[in-house]
Amino acid sequence: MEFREEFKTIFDRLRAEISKVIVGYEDIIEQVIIALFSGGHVLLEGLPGLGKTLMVKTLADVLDLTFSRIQFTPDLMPSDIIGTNIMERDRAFRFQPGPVFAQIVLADEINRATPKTQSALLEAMQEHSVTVSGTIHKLKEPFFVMATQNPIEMEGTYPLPEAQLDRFFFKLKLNFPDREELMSIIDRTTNPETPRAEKVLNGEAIETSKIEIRGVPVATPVKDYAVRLILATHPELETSPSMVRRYVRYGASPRGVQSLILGAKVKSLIEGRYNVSFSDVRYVTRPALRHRIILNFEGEAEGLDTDMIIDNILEEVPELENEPVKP
Amino acid sequence: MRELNKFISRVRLKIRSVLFFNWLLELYIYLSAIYIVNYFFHLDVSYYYLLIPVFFAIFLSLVRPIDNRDVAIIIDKDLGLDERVITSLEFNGLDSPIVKRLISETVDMLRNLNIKNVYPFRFRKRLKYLLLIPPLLFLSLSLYQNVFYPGEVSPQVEESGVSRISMDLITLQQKLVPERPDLAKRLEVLRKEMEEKRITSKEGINILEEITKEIDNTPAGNMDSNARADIKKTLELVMEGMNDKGMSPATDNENSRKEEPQDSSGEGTGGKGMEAGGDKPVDEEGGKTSPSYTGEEEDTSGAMSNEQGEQTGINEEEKSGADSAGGPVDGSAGDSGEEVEKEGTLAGSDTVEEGGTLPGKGERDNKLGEETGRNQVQNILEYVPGIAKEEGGIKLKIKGSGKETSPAVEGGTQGAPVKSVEDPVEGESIPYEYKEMIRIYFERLKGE
Repeated sequence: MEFREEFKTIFDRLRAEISKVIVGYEDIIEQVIIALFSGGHVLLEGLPGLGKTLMVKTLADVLDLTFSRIQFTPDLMPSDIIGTNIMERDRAFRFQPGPVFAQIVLADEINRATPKTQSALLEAMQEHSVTVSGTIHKLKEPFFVMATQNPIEMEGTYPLPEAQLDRFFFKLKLNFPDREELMSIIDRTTNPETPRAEKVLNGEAIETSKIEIRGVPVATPVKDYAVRLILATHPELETSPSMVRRYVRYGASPRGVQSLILGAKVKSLIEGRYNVSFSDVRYVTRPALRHRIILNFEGEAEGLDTDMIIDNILEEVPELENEPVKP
Repeated sequence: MRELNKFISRVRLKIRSVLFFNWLLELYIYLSAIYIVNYFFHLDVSYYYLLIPVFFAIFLSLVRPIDNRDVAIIIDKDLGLDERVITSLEFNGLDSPIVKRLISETVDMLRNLNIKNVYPFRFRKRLKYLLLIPPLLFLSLSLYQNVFYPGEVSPQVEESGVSRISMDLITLQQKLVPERPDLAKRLEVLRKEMEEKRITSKEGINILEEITKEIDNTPAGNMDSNARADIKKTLELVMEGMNDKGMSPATDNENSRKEEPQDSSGEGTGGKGMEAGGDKPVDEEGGKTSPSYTGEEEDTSGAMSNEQGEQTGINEEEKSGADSAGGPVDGSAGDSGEEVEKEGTLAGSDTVEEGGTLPGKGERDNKLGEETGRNQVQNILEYVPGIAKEEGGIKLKIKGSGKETSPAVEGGTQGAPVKSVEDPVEGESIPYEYKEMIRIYFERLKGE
């Protein structure tokens, strides 16, 4: 079987298994899988009770990977996450790995921990390694962090710094389920038998897929489109849309364009193609850029959302900079 | 991969040809707009301009060529191939199973496509709108002309036409001055009338034709042959110009109204003191016209006579009668001639002293050998063959009055002796037998 068909089968099975537990959120599930195969991490944002934690736990269930959950609190210390050296009976120090040494890490309510603790995840997320007492400890691949945060309970929280946010491949927003979805939630969760997802994929298959995915070709016009989208988020550039220049303080980093292209590559395979198209880039633009654009005071004061800015950018930036002459 | 390149090349050729024809058509639309404006405003746009779009379309094809990359993008967009073709083209030759698979898939997709079906000859969208320009422009210009200049040639055209003709007439006039100053004078009158729009182009052409005839009839000794050819050529050009440019129909109507009295006078019913082709009563310009009328009176009445022995040239009615005689100055009694007779101008005793043989139409020889006619249309002196006297007149002695007339007819007098003279040879010093013959001749005429 060809890789494309193989990947499509895996994807369909993953989605089907997760959907057994999670009602709705098809797009969110798809984007989580895209991030997983892209080698990125996901920040899930939503109101309490929307199933953020359940989604991550379900993903861990369907993947044959080690899973750990860290509940972030203000008194959580970095060592509580990454681990520490402890003295054993023979008076020798031995490294005790923290919960970050798992393949799927759920950082629940990540914005409740102090920035010091939050930043303990930086190296792990970016380098897939942890340094303790001068010793670098490699994390086992695949390493996938899924953090959740509550957007309304701001008291006693520490908003994630830009550097931390930039480490996340996607930021996904969970909206409130509609009426039918709520009915399904009742049926699935209040019956004596709760649905359970079965394991579909192991870490090795994921790693193989990640390599294959990176081999998907991207044409220059498509890459150029992604680059122009990133540049359009920068308010200091005259070519940026007027909305960006007015309401945006900082634009997306180069990690943004990496996310766009990698995410688009996975999306193209999901769509059954061996090449990235403009539509793939557009599909991943919102989750890839929404946490990388920082609004200025005026934008915040006017109650704007970064999604509005991204929509405006998508409207303003043409797919081709110079359209060929067409009859 | 060769198949992909081949397909792209074919599509590129098709697109380029379609684009070329689109550009060509677009440029011709613009050009047609120019020609429409030219039609209304006579801008003298050359027909060589028709070649410009061809060169321009070729130029655009060279300046804005379509490469394979552009074609690939167009194919991807038009056929909804999600950038497969452009990706295949870019990653051609890469040793990757994914790329190879992509290319083979793309070729499979394109293989079954018929370019004619995929890319039929089509016009660019804006051409549909551009096609509206020529008819709209034509309609708007027609409307403009009809609203602001109803039934007329546009003022620009008329102005340019008349001014050019005026210039031509001046040139012609200058050429005529040394040869035929009289004709030069007529041209000046014609020019002024045209400038004042008192004359139609048709009338102008008629006058020029008459002038041409006169030049033809001018004896070779009186005009240099080169000058004659040159003048005739210029005349033809001017007439041609007048034919082309024309004058406004309103001017024609206006002038045709002015002609009405003249026409009726030609039938002998009118001509009461009105100068033919003009509005002014003759008495206003009596000094100018009366001498010629005097001659005509003699001509038409057949006898230069007047009961009072007064110079008849000043009689308006007689003048108009002569004017309306229609030009046949042949001595036969026209309407006006009769009119004069009724007034008792045929006094039996009145005779023309100088032999009573004033020339008729000029067909008869006479002693003086000079005669003049009259252009009935323009009321301008018209010279029939004969030599004009510079001093311009024949002294007429009217018997019975004892007065001598000096009509000072410019270029000569008109008229002919007629039978009303009873015994014109009585006092002549000719042999008796001749006198008898003459008397018998006139008696016969009287009998008729």
